[in-house]
Amino acid sequence: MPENNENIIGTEMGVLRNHPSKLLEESWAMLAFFAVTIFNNYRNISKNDEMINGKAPIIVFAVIAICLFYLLLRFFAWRKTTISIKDGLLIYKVDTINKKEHDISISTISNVNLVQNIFEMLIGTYKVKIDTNSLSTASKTDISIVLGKKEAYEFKQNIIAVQRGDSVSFAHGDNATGEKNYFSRPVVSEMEGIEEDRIVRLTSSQSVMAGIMEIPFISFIILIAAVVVPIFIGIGASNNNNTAESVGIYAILTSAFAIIGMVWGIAKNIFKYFNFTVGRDEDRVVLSYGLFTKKEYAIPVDKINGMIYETSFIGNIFKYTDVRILNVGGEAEEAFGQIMIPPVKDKSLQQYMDIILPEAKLEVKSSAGMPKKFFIYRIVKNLIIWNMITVIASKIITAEASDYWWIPVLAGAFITMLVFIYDIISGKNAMLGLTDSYIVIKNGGFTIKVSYFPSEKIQYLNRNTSPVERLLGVSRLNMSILSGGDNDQNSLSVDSAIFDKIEAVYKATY
Amino acid sequence: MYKKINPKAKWLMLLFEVIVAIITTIIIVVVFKLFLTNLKSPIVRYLCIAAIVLTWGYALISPFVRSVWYRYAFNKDEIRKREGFLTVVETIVPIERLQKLSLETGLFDRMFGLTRVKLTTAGGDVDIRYLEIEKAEAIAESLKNKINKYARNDSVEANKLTENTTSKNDINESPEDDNHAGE
Repeated sequence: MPENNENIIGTEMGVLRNHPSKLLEESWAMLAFFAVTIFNNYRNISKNDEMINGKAPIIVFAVIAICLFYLLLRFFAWRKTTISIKDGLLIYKVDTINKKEHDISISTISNVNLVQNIFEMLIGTYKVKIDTNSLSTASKTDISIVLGKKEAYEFKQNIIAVQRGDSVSFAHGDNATGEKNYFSRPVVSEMEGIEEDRIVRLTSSQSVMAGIMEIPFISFIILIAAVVVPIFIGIGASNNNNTAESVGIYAILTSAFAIIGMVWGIAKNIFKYFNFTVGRDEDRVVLSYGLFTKKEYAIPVDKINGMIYETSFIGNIFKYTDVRILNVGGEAEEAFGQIMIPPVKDKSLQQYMDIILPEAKLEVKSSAGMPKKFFIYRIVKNLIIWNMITVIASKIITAEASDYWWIPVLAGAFITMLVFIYDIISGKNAMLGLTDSYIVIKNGGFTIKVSYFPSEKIQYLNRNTSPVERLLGVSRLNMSILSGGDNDQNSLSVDSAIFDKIEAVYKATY
Repeated sequence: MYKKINPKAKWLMLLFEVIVAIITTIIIVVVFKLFLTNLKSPIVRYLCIAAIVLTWGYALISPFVRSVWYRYAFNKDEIRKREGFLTVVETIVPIERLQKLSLETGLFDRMFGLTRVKLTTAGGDVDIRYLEIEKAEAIAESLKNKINKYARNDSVEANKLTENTTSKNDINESPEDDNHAGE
């Protein structure tokens, strides 16, 4: 409860406006263009007398006029944009010539997140990201709110208060509608309100390891290709001294770029997981992380539509796994799962999950894998297909340029080998199972994913059976869940016997 | 339990697939003539011919197979559908998960007196196609009543929740049991 009780009067919040820095952020490109245009034309005119009598001044004047007009429009849009809470609705209104009003029922808001990029960190503002429960309204509710630190936290607290049925604190009398800030609740980061034994904080070394362990398998392939292919090209060109030198330089540059690219990818991940903290606050999971882009997310536990335990290729070797959650909303890069726990040692992961989601009982009670006959059929089928593709590509390229016949052969052999290894690993990993209330899908070859979906969150189920699968007694499961990115979740082909149990568990939810 | 679709559906499917086959053939021929004629290897020509033959084979055979496979069922709590050509897909949609229902009749559907019922859930759409218009309207009316009933039950439960003060901690409980303490 807020300390200043006499300020609580009901469910109405006065009017807020976006922080003025939003105006700068939206207009910086035009301001930059404006500055460059003035500077360039001023230099040209002052150097060249003929230009003063020519068309240059008119063009400069026209550009300046357009820039100023644009900036004036942006200023009016900023001035006329208001944000308020009234009667359980979040009202975002733009009162310019093109009037727009978004009325969002607060009960449909699944997340209220605070994000800061470097510019916002410097000036002390936050972007407030509102995510709703529905995909169909998601694009319409991508409103952008930028507030100062105090307003941002209090705004978020008031949204959460309305969701919980609490009153919104609102200063009456002289501090009524029109004032920017009149909340009486103390400004507190959500993490500060959580007990220490319900918080998981990663150390610096854990953040570094998380960044390294998240390198995708494809990055290794690209690195290998960037080093190996130039070597082969160099060998092919070694007879020609002139070509050999330029190919040698090309090979070194390509390899260097590939290595730099991978190092930069690791660095970005380490910055992303800087100061990673996750906590459990009653019915919400609260996250805070990032160095150059700082994010603070709160996700209601009942809005979690799935959990994915993901182990990357390198994570498999060193036993590191991360946990992502699926819900509606989040940033674009989190469309396929909001990170809840970054890659950590498997033995630490369970401890952390017991703190953050103790109620999630994930012990698999029954499961089915890929039967041996189908496992062999799948490998043989893919070997035949990839060999055919290699032969056809080789024939086409040989007919056009016989000296380069080895390129499709080498590429085809490499891809076929990768597919063969992937089929073996993924076939062994394929699993479809059940816990007390989750449907579990395990799949993946180089990156392994174990996904848990609460059966009451599944929107509909598909069972897919091809002619060969019918013959061999297997099927594939496809489910639709509510997620910001990947709604469709698929299993590999597994023994059909599990499907009756899955159907029974699913039917029990409606 | 499963019902068959109207026999006219196979002719609708055939008409649609033939149109698609014509367009696909034109695209393959144009791409070949514009970009691939100068290739020395005859394999590309054979591949294009094979693609055209497969396209027409699918267009002329699949409607008759698909119309046999395509079944639907509207039960008390769920809607089921089965469809496919070589790969058969069985779909289960709980009525409780439905958010929206619509009847859509395209140009070709209208020619054969058929329509489709589009079921919208929070995770995506499921279509029940090739239904006679009167039957589809009766199904839609019945489903709308059920959807409204579930929606009313949800709002009654939601109102009960705001009066209670117990807090929810277990992710395994259904959303109707959600409660937030207000202290």
